[in-house]
Amino acid sequence: MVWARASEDRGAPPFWLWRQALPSPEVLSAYGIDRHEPDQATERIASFDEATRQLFASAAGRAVLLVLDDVHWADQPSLLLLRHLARELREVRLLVLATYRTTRADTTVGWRAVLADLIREPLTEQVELSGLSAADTVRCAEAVSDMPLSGAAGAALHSMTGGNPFFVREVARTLPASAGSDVTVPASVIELITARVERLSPLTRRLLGAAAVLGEQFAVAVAASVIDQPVIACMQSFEEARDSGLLEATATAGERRFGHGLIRDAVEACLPTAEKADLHRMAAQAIERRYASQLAPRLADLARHWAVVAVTGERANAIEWAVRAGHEAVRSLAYEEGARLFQMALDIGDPNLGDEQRCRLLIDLADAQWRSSDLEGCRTACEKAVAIAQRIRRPDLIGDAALTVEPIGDLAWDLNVRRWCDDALSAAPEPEAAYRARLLARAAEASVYLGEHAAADQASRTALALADRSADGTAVIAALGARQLACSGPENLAERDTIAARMVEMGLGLRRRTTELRGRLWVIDILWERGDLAGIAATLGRLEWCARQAGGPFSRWHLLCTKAALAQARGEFTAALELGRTAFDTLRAVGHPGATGAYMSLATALGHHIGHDRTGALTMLADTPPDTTEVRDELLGHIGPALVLAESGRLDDAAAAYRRAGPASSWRPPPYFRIPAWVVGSLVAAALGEDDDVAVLRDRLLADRGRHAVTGAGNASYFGPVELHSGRAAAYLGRWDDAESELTVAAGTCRAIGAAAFAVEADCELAAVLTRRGGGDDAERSRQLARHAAAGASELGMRPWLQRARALAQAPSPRQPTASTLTARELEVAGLVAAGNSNREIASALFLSERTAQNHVQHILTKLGLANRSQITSWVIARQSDE
Amino acid sequence: MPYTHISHVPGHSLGDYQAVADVLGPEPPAGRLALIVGEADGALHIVDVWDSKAHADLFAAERLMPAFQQAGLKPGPAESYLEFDTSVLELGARTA
Repeated sequence: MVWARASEDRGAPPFWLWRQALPSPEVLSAYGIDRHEPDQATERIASFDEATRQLFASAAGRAVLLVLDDVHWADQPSLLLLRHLARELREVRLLVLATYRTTRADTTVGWRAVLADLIREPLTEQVELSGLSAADTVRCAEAVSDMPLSGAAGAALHSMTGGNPFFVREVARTLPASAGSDVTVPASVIELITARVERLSPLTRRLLGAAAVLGEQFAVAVAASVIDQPVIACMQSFEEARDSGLLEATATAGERRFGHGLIRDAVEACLPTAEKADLHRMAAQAIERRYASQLAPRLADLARHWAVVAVTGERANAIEWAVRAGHEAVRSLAYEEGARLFQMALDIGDPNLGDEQRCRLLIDLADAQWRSSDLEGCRTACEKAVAIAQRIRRPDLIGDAALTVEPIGDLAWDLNVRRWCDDALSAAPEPEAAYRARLLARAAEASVYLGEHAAADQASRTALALADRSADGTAVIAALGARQLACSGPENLAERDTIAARMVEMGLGLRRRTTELRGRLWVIDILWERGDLAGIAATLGRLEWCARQAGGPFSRWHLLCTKAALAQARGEFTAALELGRTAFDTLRAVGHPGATGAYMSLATALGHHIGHDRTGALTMLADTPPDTTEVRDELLGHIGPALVLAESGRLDDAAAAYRRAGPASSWRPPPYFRIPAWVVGSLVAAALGEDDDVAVLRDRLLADRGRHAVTGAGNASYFGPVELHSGRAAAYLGRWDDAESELTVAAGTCRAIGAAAFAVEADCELAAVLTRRGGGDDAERSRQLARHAAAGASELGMRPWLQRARALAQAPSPRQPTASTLTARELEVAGLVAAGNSNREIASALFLSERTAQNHVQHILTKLGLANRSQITSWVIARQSDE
Repeated sequence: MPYTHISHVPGHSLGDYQAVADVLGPEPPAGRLALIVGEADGALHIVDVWDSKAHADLFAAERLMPAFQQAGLKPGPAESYLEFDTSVLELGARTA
């Protein structure tokens, strides 16, 4: 059994719960992290993962009970690790028993949020604890008082204490030997304890007062030191307190603890304010003396003591220790604790802080909030810091604020980040090269998301040149990241080859596996963009090694995503689904939005070939609320689900999702999402009959002919060569010859690279084009292609495409629809459609209702076997030329 | 600077001292420079010289208190005690 207890004080070191519970708790602070290390987000997850593995290893071959007592008082990072553990608990003989109070006054917002998450876990079971029964109350009281209790006295005791074992014990201690039937409960338990304390010797009372300010559990030597006594002089007092049930021994040598939290509360409540502040000052000084060489785990405790002293007007120490504790918490990956401590320093210092000190504190606060994903808090703190820095004309502080946050794709946010970078860069004297490089890199990233690619290009180039000149590793990595982002469009593959190779080199040179892994993933992105599936397969071994060395769930997730996408591209659907789900589960414990996005991307591509009912995507769409935390992915967040819905026949839902993205002509995806956005958009637009959007997106696709539908930054799925989609859009628009030529190229490409399912898809689309065109040997070619596609679809398990290929293979010889097929009114309507009129305009011209005009258009489409208005236009034009 | 602590404990005897010393074992505690123990006038008198006060406190907190408990003894009320920084410390070669 392992027992850990959260402390009511806010002075416990970060991860206090787990420092008690883990076999090697240093995993939670052993990561020496540079303030601007880009991999910190994953670093904490890696440490959580390692902590979980430690616990699981301790439960190997035996059952382990982990008791987490008073968990409602735990610090936020400890609670996040508890949530991580709960999500990972599978088939391990580890029972985690967490106790918490349900009264709102005793809980924090953080605990309530984590509790809600814990309850959702299928393995979580809640057990409500109630007081002792009447019989047990009597048994407990008799055991404590060592005397029998009458029935009436027992009933009175139960009624008065509600069966609370602590209260029962406390009252039982006071039972007079002769009063078995006369139970008197004092007005409050606090009063009862106070009375008990007052009976102790003066030295013991002083010692208890000192202990009460130190905490529920405390070091004997420190308590003695607080009252300026040698321990040996206090030994009898400790015994006296133990004999009266106020203190008890602990498993840690040299420490004691209060018999109950309420005892400590009662002792502390009796201290006059001035005496309490004095005791806290002496406690802080005693801790500083006693642990001078090992203060790191006690910094938050020192901050707590000095914060109480601050009520006397002595604020400097409180601010200093809170800041030191805040930095230590961030260094230990306890970002929420860091934010709390920096905020505490600001609150204590207010309103006497100097401008520079306040500005630096706000930047520290923003940094901790950014790392803990508190974007709103971070934004507020940054803006306040920059306002002060501007007022006192300190561009260096503006630069520090800019380097604290990253651009996120939010217009106002990104504009701020870039403006702050520009302000800092324009400072005189000019900042040193490495610092300028980092500022330029940040400005370049902001420019990418602002759609200002020329600015991004220039800033990232200069950043890299400066970083190289400075030879500062952090600056070089930042500049490479910015340059990679600025070049993340598919037209920059050659340069990205170099950038990726340099990133790998940096990782190897600095022995930072996460940096190396980042570079290797960039290499794989480039291979995807070249459609080099064999190349990706060949690099998987090295990627796997690197991911293992880097450790942590993110590394495993990247590897699994790559393997899943490769299997999907090759038409190995079962393997792709399994790998994708494992990848998703790997990050499930983390609750990272990337996990859902990547899986949805894979599932959408898979569902396109095997049917969306087989991937779980529809369920996931129903269960997962739209993610608004990652605004950079907003466009694909709308049109991706729209494609799943459209291909599942839910056109109304698809249209609603699609329209949230606005008209296609207004889309401005980041460069790395460009081709997937055009591809997915064109598929949805065609399914919904959005002719204009299909035309717009086809034009955009044509500019990327010869490329592949993948993202240039962390690809998670493959959507085939661009010609497959431009050709399909051409067919939709009735441009049969363009469609034939582009789809033929697509089919050839798919076969050459081993994208078997996409070859089937290209053949089907081409067969449909030939059927529609109906010229020369089109019909026979179409049937041959369709038969071939059906065989391929059957072999690969592409159910929707198998049906389509079979239908095409069995289609009767197409005949060119003739004008006689249509009524005179329909011919008239067709002419108006070809002239570009809307249904409303047609209705107005022919004195019809809009509904009737719409019916006519529908009849024309049905009779001519066409899919949309563009094809009506083509048909009218062709008929006019024939005539 | 060395730290000296002198205790006079009425009601405790050399036998009590020995019972606690047996629990503590022969290994001298870290930082102890000298120990003088004697019994007179129905009290135990102990002179302890340490490298520092921190050494003395650590010993008392981590070893002496549990040793009392293990020996079944309760620390007596320290009738009087005296502590001071030690300006001169000379030790002979012989121990009793």
